[in-house]
Amino acid sequence: MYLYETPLILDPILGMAEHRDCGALSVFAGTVRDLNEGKRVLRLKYTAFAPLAEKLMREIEQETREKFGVPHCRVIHRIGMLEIGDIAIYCAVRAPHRGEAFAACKHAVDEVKHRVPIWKEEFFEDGTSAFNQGCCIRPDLPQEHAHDHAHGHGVHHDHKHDHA
Amino acid sequence: MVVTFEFWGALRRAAGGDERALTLPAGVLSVADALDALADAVPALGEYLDNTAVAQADRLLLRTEAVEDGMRLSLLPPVAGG
Repeated sequence: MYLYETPLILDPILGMAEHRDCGALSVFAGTVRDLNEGKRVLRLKYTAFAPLAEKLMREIEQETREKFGVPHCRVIHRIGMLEIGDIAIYCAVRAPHRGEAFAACKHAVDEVKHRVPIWKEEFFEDGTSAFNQGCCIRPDLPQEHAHDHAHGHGVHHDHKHDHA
Repeated sequence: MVVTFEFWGALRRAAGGDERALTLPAGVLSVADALDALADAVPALGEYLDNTAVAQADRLLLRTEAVEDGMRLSLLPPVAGG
């Protein structure tokens, strides 16, 4: 399972019972914060288009294992209404050494943020709400739009939607 | 031909609902044509559609792919998980 309407539980995705050849476990947790672009956030709601979201998360895990040569990568995401401090995403990677564990974990989380159909609606102190600006996932986005709409995804790119 | 559009993220607010079934005019063949017809029917969606991906179940569609009677198209605006 990839999407949960209830609080995320870390233990089942750690893979600690297997991979005895691994000397590293890297875990990332994204939590809900109370401030975005200067506005006080009270809570937020994640929605996901599940058929595609789950397929892509499975693909991202597989790609991450292959790209970084790590035997274990799992990522899970919360949906529904979340309060400040709640865990929104967990990613766990096991690897022989820490270097590839850190890199693979970062890669998997970045890919989930950029490619998986999940939306975040923030509810503000002033009673309004807004969806976060995000990444366009249209596969045939014309090049002239790409500069306006798609993000560069470069290592140093400052993502406006990088709130976790 | 009738196609049902399912709205996600900020599109729900712009569309004023979760979905909309639309009888498409003759000559609508592709996903791009269907989106043009949707923009005519719901002008508030127009500004979002260039930036929106279209999925059928677990597959992202290209604008050039054919639409068929009874299709359910999920409209996915830019994503922001994590």
